[in-house]
Amino acid sequence: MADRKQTLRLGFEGHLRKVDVTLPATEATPWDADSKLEIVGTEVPRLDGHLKVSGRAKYTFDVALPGMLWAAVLRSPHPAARIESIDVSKAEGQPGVKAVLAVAKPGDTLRFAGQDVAAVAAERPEQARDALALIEVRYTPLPFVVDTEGAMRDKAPRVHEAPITERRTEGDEPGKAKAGGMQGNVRALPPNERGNVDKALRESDVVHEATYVTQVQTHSALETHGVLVRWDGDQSMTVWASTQGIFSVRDEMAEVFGLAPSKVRVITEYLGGGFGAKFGASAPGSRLGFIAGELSRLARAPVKLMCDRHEEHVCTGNRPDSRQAVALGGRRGKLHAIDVVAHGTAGIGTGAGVGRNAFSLYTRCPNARVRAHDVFTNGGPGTAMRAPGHPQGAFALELALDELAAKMGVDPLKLRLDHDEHPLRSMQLRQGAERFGWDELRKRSAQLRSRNTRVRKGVGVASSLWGDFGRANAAVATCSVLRDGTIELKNGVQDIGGGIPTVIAQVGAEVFARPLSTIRVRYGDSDYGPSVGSGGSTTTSSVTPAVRNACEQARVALQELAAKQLKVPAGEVRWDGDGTAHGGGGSITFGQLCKKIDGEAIVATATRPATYGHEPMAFPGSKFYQIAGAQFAEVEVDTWTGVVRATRVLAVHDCGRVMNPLTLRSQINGGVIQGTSYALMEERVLDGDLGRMLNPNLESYKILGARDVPEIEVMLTEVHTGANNTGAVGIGEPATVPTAAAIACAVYDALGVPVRSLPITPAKVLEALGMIPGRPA
Amino acid sequence: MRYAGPDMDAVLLHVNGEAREVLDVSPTTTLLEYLRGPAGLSGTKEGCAEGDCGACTVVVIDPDAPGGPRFRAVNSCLLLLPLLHGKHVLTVEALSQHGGQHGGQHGGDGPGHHPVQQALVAALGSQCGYCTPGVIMSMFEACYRGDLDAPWKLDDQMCGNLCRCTGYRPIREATQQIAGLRPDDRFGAALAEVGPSTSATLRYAFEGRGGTPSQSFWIPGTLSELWDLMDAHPELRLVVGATDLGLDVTKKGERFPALASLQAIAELRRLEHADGRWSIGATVRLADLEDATAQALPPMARMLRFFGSRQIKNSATVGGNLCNASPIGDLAPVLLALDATMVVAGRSGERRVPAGEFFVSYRSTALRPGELFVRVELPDPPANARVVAYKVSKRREMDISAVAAALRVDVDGGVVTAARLAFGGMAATPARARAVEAALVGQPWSQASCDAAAERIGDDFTPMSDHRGSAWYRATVAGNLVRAMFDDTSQCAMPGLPDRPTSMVGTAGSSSVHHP
Ligand SMILES: Cc1cc2nc3c(=O)[nH]c(=O)nc-3n(C[C@H](O)[C@H](O)[C@H](O)COP(=O)(O)OP(=O)(O)OC[C@H]3O[C@@H](n4cnc5c(N)ncnc54)[C@H](O)[C@@H]3O)c2cc1C
Ligand code: FES
Ligand code: FES
Repeated sequence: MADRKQTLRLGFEGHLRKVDVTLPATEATPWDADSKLEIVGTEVPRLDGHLKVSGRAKYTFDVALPGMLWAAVLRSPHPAARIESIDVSKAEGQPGVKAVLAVAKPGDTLRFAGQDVAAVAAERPEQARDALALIEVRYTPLPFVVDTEGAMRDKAPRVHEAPITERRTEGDEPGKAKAGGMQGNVRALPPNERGNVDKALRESDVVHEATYVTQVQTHSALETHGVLVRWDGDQSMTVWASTQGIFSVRDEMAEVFGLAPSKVRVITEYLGGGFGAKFGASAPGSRLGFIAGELSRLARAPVKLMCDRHEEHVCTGNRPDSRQAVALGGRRGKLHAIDVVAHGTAGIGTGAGVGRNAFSLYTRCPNARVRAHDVFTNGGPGTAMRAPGHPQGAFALELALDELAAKMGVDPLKLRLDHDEHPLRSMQLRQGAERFGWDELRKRSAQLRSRNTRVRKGVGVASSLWGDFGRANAAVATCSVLRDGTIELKNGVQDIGGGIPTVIAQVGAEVFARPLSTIRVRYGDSDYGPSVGSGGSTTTSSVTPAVRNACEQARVALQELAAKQLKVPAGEVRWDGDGTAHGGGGSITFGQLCKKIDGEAIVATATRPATYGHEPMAFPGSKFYQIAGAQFAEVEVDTWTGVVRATRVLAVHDCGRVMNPLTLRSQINGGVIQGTSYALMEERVLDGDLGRMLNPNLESYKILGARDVPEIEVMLTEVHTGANNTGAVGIGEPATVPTAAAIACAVYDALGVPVRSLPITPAKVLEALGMIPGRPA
Repeated sequence: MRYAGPDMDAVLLHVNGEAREVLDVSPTTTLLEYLRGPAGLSGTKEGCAEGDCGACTVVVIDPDAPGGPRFRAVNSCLLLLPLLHGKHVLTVEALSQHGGQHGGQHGGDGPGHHPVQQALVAALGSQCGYCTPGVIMSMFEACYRGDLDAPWKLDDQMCGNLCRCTGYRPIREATQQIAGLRPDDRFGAALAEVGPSTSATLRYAFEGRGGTPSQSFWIPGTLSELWDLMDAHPELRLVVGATDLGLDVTKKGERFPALASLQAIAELRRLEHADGRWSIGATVRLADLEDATAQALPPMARMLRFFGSRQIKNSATVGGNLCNASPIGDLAPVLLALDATMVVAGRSGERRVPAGEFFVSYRSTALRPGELFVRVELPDPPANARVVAYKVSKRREMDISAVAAALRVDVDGGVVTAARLAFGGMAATPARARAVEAALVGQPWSQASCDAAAERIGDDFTPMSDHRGSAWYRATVAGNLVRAMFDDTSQCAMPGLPDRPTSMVGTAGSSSVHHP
C-alpha cells in the first residue's frame, strides 16, 4: 500500500504549527496537539504496585526450581596476570558440588581484578563458595596500571596488546562512528569540530582554561546481576535473567551455545534496576550466561548464578571517569570557542566519551571542537550508564561556562540563553529561572560570600540534551480482544521500573475506550513477541506506537463485526465513551459484541515504522527529535567542615507527550537523585598498589539515602514532536544529564571558587577554600 | 557449676505467626538465608548482605523493650538465626491477607492490604520494586510507633532503606500518611499477647557434616551460666546485635565454633537515669538509648541521630559498639567527654575502668579473659558545662564517621576551668586532644580562645588517610570543630540537632551566622 500524507499540529505551547508528515498506509493517525485523550496522559497508578508491596513480584533472585544448583565464580585476585595452570579437581569431590568449570585456560591473560577464572555449581550457595577455595590456580602476575593518568604515560604497561572490538549495547547512544587507532593505552574517539577553534581562541578577549575531573561510578542496581538457566533437552533452554534486554539475552545465549534463537526462552518477570549495565547474557566483565549455561549442561540441572554486591561493583560495568581539558573563548560577552580534550577510562573496555553536551548544546557558538579518548586501564570494564558520557560532559562544560561568565562579568543564565538554539529549552530556561527565583537567589549567594559566613548558599543551572531514539520495527505488539471482553496486550518487553506495562494498558484503554480493569498486559517473556531493551530512553517510544497500531487494527476488525451486528456499513459505526457501538438507530455494548467474536479472539499484530518527525528541533546530525531539559540546583555548604547539601532542584523537562504524569515524575525524581548522588558521593576507589577496588560494597561506596534528598520540583513542558503515533519520547536519561553539573555550578556560586572534581567531597571543598575556611585571613 | 540445660535445643521462632522449629542449620545462618531458603519466603530481598541497603528488612517483636513489647525493623541479613529464638518475626508476606501465594503479573489489586501497603501503592513508591519489601517493613514499624511527630523523624525512620531508583520522595509521602496510625488490627493484638519477657535460653549444637564444622550457640539466662561457658569454651565469642560480628559471617565466611548471646540476661538490659547518674547496660539497644537521651543528654542523642540506620540502631548494642573498640566507634568520644566509667565483670567480681583507659590500642580493650563489659556509668554534665557532639561524614545515614567528636568545657566566671575534647577517627583509638585541652584551660571562654586552641590539634593527632578522609582533611575538620564549639554552644549549653538536616553538623543551621 502506498504511503499517505497527514497534516499534524505539532510543537509546544505558544509554538504550535501545522506540519505535513508522510506515513505508511497501515500507520494509525498520530495523536497530536489536537487529540483529546481520556486515559493516556492521566495519573494512572502503576498496575504492579500491589504485587511489589506484598512481596509477590518475583525477581530472578527469587526464582527457585526443583533440583536447582547455585553457582559461584572464582575471580582473579590480580589486576594483570597470566594463568600458568588451573586445577579444579579438588573442588569436584566437595560436598554438594555437581559441576566445576575452568573458565580461563592456561596461557590466558587476565586483565583486571575480578575477571572470571573458574566456577562451581553446588546444591547450596555456601557449598559452591567453599569449593572455590580448593581450585588451584598458578598465576604469573604481570605489570598493570589502574589509574587513568598513569596509563597515559609512555612507559605504562600495555593493557591490551591488540586492538580491541567495541562492546556496544542498546544502552549506548546510537550512531557513533568508529574509533581511531591505539597509541599505547590511548585510543582516539571520532572527533567533532565546527569552525576554527584554534583561531577563535586566539581571537577571544577572555580565555578560560581548566581541567575537570569526574570519577568512576558504578550502576549499583539494588538487585545484582544474575541468571538462571534450565536446559529443556539438548537444543533449547529457558533462561531467567535480571536483564533490561530480554532479547539481547536470548541472542547471546543462542550464539554462545549454538542454538536457534527461537529455542531460547527468556523470562524477566521483574528486575531490580539496571541503569545500563544489564544487557546481554554476560555482564560487561563476567560471562554469567555462559557460566550458568555450561554448568547447567554439565550438571544436568538448572543452575542459578547471582552476583554478590562485591562482584556487582567489580565486574558488571561502570560509568567511565574523565579528565577534560576545557578551553573556552569569550568575545564581547559572547561564547566564541569551545575546545575539549577528554581522556577517560572504561577500564579494559571502551566507551569513555563525554557525550554531546560540549559540541551540540550551545550551537550558537560558532567554533567548537571535542576530542575524546579511551584510556585503557586494568579495571573492570565500563559500559553504558544512564545517558552515557553526558553527565561527565555536562559537568565540565557547564562549570567552565560559569567560570567564563564570571570572568566576562555576565550572568551564567544569560550566557546559556544567548547560545542555545533549541526553542523549547530556551523557554524552559526562562520559565524555570522565574519559578526558581534565579535572580534573587544569585544575589543572596553574593551577599553571603561577601559577608564570609560559615554557611553559604549557591545556585546553578545546567542543560540537558538527548535524542528520541525510538526504534523502528523492533517491537512487535499483539492485541487480542477476547470473547469475554478482556483486551490482552502482549509484548516481550521487560519492566525495568519505568512502568511500561501501565502505559501499554493506558494505550489499549484509550483506543478501545474501555476501563483499565479490562486490559491485561503480558510482558517480561520472549514468548510475548520481540521488543526493545530498556536503554537509550527508547522503551515507551518504541513500544507504545506498536501497541497502538495493533489495537487500532483489532478495533477495525471489531468495528466490522459491530457493523455486521448493527447491519450498517462499517463507516457508520460510532463508539461512545464506554466502548458501546452505535449505528442505524441500534447499539450493542462492548461485552455483547465480544461474545459475537468468531473463535476465541480477534488478534492483530503490529509494529511501528521509522520516526517521521522531529518538531521543533532535531538531535544534531539526525532525523530524531532533540529532547530538551534544564535543571536548577540550590546547595548549602558548611565552609568549616566542607559538607555540601543539595537543598533544592527544579527539573524542567520535556518527554514528548506526557503518557502518565506519575511514572514520568518518578523517572525525573530518580534522575535528579542519581545525579545528586553522582555529584556528591559516589566514587569507585581502586588501590594503585594492589589494583583492586577498595570499596566494593554499599558501606563505603555511598549512594544517596533518604536524608540527603533535595526538595525536587518537576516542571513538564509537553511537546508534540510528530515522531510516532503516540507522541512518546524518552525521559529516563535526560533527567540525569544536568544534575551534577547544576550542583557543581551551585557550589561555585556559594564559594566563589570552583571544585573541578567530582564527587564534591567535604575534603575537596576545604581544599578549594584553603586552610581555614570561612574566616578572614 | 556447669551450665545446666538440655543437651540440645532447637531454635524455636514464629515466622508470620507460624511456629517453626529449626534443628539442622548452622547457627551462623542468617535470618535472611533462612527466610529465603528453608522457609521459602522470597519476598524479603538481599541487596548487600552487609546491613547497608535495607532490602532485607523484617520486623521482630522485642518482648523486652523499655515500655513493653514493640515492633523493631531490623536487617535480617546480619542477624544470626539463633538470636531469634523465642521471638516473633514478621516479613512482608504477613501483611496482606492473601500474603504468600504468587499471583503472576496480574495477581493482585490490593484488597486485604495493610495500610502501609495501600499508602505506598497510592504514592507510587516503587519503581523496580526491589527495595519495596524492605521499605514496607520499615514503614510497618513507623505505623505502630507513637513518637514520629516531626518530618525529620520520618527520614530517620526510613534512612536504612536505599532505593537506587530513588523513590525517596514518594516513600516519604507514604510514610507520612501512616506514621503513628497504630491500627487496631491483628498485629496490634499479637503485640499485646506477647508477655513482658519471653527471654528464652538455648543450647544449640550443630553437627558439622560434609566438610562443614560443628558449631554451638548458647543463650544463657544468667551471668554465672555465661562464666561457665567462658571457662569451658575459651574460643567462645559473645554476640548481641550481630551488626558487627554478623559482617564477619557474611563478608569473611567465618563459621564461629562457639557463640553466646547476652540477650536473655536481664540485668544487662537495664537503662537507668536517677540522681544525676546514668547507668547504661551492655545490651541496651542504641535506638532505646537515643530515645532516652533525646532530651536528657543531647550530646549522646546527637551522635546517635546519624549513627547507622534505624534498623542498625534497633539491633546494635552499647556493649557491641564499645567492645569492638573500633577507632571510629561513635559512642566512645561521648563517653570520654562525659567522664564515664566502664564496668566490667568476671566470675571474681566487677572492675571499674575509666573510659579513658578502656580503649587500649587498635581494636583492643581493657577486658581480660573471662570478663565481659556489663554497663557504663556516667554523671550528668554539671551546670557549668558546655557540651556538643559532632559526627562528620559524607552521607547523612549509615555512614561511618570521618571524624567524630564530643567536646566539653566547664566554664566558671567566663574562664575555662576544665576541658575534655574527645575524638574518634583521629588515632588508633578514640582519644582526647590533650594539647588543645591544655591550651583552653585557664583561658577566657571566647571564640579567640577556641581559634587559638584549635591550632594545637596537630600536637595531639597525626591522623591517617583512607577513603573516608585524608589526614589533612581530618586534621582540618577537627580543628574547625574546636572553632565551631564556641558558636554552637552560645545559645544553649548542650545543643541538640536542628530538625531539618542542613549542611551543618553544627547547631544553628542558620545561614545568617556571621563571622566578622
Ligand atoms: C550498616 C552499619 C552501620 C553502622 N554504623 C555505625 C556508626 O555509624 N557508628 C558506629 O560507631 N558503628 C557503626 N556500626 C558498627 C556496629 O553496628 C556497632 O558497633 C554496634 O554498636 C555493635 O553492636 P552489636 O550489638 O551489634 O555488636 P555485635 O556484633 O553483637 O558484637 C560486636 C563485638 O563486641 C563483642 N561484644 C558485644 N557485647 C559485649 C560485651 N557486653 N562484652 C564484651 N564483648 C562484647 C562481641 O563479641 C563482638 O566481638 C555500623 C554497622 C553496620 C552494619
Ligand atoms: S541485604 Fe542489604 S541490608 Fe541486608
Ligand atoms: S524501586 Fe528500585 S530500588 Fe527502589
